[in-house]
Amino acid sequence: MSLNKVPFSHIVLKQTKWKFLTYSQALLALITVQVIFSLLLSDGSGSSGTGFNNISMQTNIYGLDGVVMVGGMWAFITGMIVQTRAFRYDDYSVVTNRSTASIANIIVLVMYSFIGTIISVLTLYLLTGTVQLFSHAEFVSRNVIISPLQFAVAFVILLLAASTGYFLSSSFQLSKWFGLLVIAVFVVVIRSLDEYLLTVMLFFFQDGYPLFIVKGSLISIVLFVVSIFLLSRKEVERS
Amino acid sequence: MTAIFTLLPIIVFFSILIFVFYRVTRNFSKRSKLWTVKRLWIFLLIYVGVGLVIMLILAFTTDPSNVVLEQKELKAIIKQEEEILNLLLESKIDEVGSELVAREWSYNLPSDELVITCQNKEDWTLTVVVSKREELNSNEIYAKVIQIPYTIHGIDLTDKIGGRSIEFQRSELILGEREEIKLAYNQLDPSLYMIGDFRGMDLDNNDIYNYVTGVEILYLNVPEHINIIDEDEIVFYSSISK
Repeated sequence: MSLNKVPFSHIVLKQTKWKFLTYSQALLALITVQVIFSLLLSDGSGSSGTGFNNISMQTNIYGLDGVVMVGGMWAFITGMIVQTRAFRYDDYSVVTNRSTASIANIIVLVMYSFIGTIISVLTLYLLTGTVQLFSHAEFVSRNVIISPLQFAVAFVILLLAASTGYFLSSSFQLSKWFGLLVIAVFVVVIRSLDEYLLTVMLFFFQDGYPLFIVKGSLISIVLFVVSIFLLSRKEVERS
Repeated sequence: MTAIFTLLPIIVFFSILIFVFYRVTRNFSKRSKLWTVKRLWIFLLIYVGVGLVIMLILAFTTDPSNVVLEQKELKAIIKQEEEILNLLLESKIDEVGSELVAREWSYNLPSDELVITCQNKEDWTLTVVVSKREELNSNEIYAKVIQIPYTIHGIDLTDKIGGRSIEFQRSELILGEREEIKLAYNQLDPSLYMIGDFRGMDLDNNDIYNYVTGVEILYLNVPEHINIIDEDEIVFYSSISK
């Protein structure tokens, strides 16, 4: 019997700090993939050519789409791999149970999503700056500095991807068949919609960016909460 | 069954990605003594720091003439372009701002006939507006070239476009064509194009950047008795001013 009653929040905080440092290799993986992806995108994420009035103009456009897409895939995969056996065994190094481990994982995923957004956005600037050093083309921009709204949208995209990955891996943790059931239900629901994934995109983005931030955040919270519930079902309970 | 075959490449792609991310995340530090936690975070801070520095450099060293116009400015130019032709139709040349007048001169026509010739009959980029005035004792032609700011995708190219020769030679007005120019730009736009362009949803009202402006108008004020020969049908319309 322990004479010390350690608060729940204290344990979660300790775990969060420890996991935040221990899992930081994931950020290195993100940088690696972003740099490789940027090299492939050195001609821009899009280009346009226009000819009018004896002027022909070629524009290479460097936008956020590519880097955010890579960041989203990274967040999804990171959300999945924190539930793999090797990472779960790491939890035994500290005082933990399923609930504290889940909450700590979720907090770390949220923080990593934020840092991942910063890394993704700054990779765009690094790419553009590097291209401009070696390119003879002139540099134009409407707004060089990213707006807070666009940053928030990118962050919510990564958060949504991380929560989806975490939920999926938690489902497989509960039971492989349950995990497969979740995927099957997802496929059936998508196929039942009028325009499949396009309907989902419309749901998220039809009403503008601010509402997307609200919708994305709420759905992420729901996915994380359900994941905690699923993982707590695996807890060994003492009577 | 079809769904499985459709999803199979995506599943394989994600499986490979997960494997790659897992190996890098999990084993990188074990195989290399280089990437300790402290060094990793120093590297991250350096990466973020360099990114921020480049962002600030790009923000504060961009040539002001290479800034994509704001939507408000571009809308004003488009509106101006629409209104200018109406003004000239009503012979309200004085209401055209002097900043739009690229060139102004007069010519004393040696005869009562003016032949307008276009060197390139396929060139529809110059509009000729003729306004006639009642002045029997004069053959003086007043000419003005009005140039609306030339923008493509919101970039003001007015200073970059080549000149066009418009010359009177005896009883002839010869309209040349612009020299050919090729421009190349790298445009940074830290926004999510895919989402904005998704199914035509223009969440940021960016459709306006598809406009091209830059109408060039040659305004001629000629005495009423001058006969204008316009075989190429270049003159857009004419009106009589008092």
